Amino acid sequence: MPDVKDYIKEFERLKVVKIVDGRVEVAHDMLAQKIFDKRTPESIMVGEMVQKIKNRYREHTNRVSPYWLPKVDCVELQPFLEKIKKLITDEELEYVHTSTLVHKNRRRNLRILIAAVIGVISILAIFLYLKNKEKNETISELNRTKKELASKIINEDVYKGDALIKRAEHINEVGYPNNAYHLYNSAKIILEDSIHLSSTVSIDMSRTIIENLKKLHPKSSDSTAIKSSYFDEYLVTLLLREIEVELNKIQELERAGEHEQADKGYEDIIKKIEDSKVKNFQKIKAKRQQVVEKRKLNTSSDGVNFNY
Amino acid sequence: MSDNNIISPFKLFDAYEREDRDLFFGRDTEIDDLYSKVIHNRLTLLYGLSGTGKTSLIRCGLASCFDESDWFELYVRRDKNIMASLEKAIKSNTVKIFREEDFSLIEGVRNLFLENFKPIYLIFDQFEELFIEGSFSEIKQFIDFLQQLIASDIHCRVLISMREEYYVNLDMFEEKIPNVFDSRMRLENMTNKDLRDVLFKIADNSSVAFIKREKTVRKIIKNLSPARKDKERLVEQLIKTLDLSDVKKIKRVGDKVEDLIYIYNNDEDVIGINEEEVVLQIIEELEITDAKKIKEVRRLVEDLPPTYTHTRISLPYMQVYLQKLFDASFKEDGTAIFDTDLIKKVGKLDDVLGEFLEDQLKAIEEALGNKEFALQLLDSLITNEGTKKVITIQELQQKYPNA
Repeated sequence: MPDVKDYIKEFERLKVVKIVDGRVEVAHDMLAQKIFDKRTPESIMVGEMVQKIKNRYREHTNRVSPYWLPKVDCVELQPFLEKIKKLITDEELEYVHTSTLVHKNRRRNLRILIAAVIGVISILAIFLYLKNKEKNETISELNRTKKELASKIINEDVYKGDALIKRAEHINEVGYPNNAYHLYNSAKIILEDSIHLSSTVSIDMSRTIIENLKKLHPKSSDSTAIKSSYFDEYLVTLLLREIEVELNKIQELERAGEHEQADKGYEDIIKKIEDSKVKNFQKIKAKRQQVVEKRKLNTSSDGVNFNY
Repeated sequence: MSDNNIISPFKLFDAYEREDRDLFFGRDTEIDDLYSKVIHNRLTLLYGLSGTGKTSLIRCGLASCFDESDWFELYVRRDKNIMASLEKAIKSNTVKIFREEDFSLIEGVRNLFLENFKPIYLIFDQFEELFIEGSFSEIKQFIDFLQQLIASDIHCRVLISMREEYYVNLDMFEEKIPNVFDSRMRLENMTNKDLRDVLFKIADNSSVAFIKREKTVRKIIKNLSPARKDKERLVEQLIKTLDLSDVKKIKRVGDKVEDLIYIYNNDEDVIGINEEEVVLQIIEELEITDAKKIKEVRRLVEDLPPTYTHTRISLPYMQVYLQKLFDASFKEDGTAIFDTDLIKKVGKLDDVLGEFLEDQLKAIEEALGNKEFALQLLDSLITNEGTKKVITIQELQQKYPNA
């Protein structure tokens, strides 16, 4: 039975290969190309992979630090591994296995690292959330306390003011206007201080204080009397705030398509302005005009006509 | 392939050696050019396509330019590692016994010069193998060696021969050897005119007789020319356009088209007529008078040059074809006669080397029985780039223990 040597000798006789010092090579590169042309696409691929493994392994052995086969190659060669095994040495095969394992471990380590990072971030986020929640609770608690305290002070002041006014009225009635003036003045100072504080608590409270202050007006002397415009200014501020709140509600209604209710809201605002009896005050006038315009605009865009 | 290749004047795939100088034709200009470059530069690059005859140019052409007294050539062919191959080549040509720890390649070259007292010519043939199979560190080591050698005072010249597809890889050398590309030479395939001269000289200097020399030589070149397919394409287009059916007329037109391709291949001096004349002859031969048709034929013919395959005939193709003619006409007295009838008998070969390989595989199947294994064995002798590689018989036996 002919062996490798017989084939090589025959190829040499046929001038397909040359043998020099026991080494064989194809007679010419152009003939080598023709042999290459007979390869199937799969064998070309296997050949390329084998070459890559051999080159990489050589570099790996020459280097101080490891030089593994790239991850993409480790994946790509898997379907051809059985064929590749026959064309590489045991050391090279071991190198392929180790490279694959290194990438697998790297992937696992990466997954562990990602999980650890996510865990740390989550704990940190929970911690910050709790801390923030605690802070917010403290602040709101503080605000609540502040409000309660302010409310208490105002109530006391209103009570004091009210008592002082009543006393002043009595003294005035019995014929001591000068003494009554001092009492009125004291009540005025207390109530004026309270009104600033009350604006941080509630509109109703401010209104009560203003009502009390109004009581002072006819009974105070000219030089110290509180002018009506003084009250109006407060009323206007309060009114404007109320209007803004109402307008926001109307806007919500318009968005929801509740045009009739929105229109009623506008009517209420106008009525509220008129009931307040604030006279000759430009800001309120302008606001009233603005509300009327808005109402008109709202009605016309909806195609509904309202007559005023 | 028959056993008569022993006395055949054709080298087939073997390179020409110094002793073949009388049979090595058609490269006189290139030999002078290479000689001039090699003697004036410490490093010269010779590159060209596969099959242009680089090895023959060096081993026969260049070697013949030197006297024995002023030329010590050391051919280095990479085996598993170029540095190891170089070391082996130096040691096998040196009398001095180096102790392993003392040996440096530079000192080895110096010693080679001192022992022979002739200029050393280090010739790295098939240098592309370093880039195909070599590792980066191997290339780096070689660059370092070359840099030191060029900078040294050793009377040594280096010639690197390689396929031009890998020439660009020499960029890696530029950082350490900035003048690496200064002395270089590109070897091209022979023109048809050169080939014709070579064939004439073979006819004058060998046991092969050419009957009707001019015509026979021309026919051989035409049959080998890669442009033959362009001719066939144009004739097919003419048949289609003009609805030709007269076989004789088609053949005559085909001959004219062939002439035209011959002209496009820079061989106008062979037939002594110009391109326009041949175009007119084609129109005349086709017997067309319609101006529109004449215009169409002109367009087809004039379209030929841009699509024409500008590849010249590769030398291995010619060698294999000539060997085939030789085998077909070989006589017992060792002579052979080449004529047009023989060429007709052998026929046109579309893929000379492919058919050569097939013939040899068939022959081996007849002799040893297993064509598949034979091809597998050959496949072990090529790289993944489709180039040849060296392997020992022992390695092959280890690879196929059950063969």
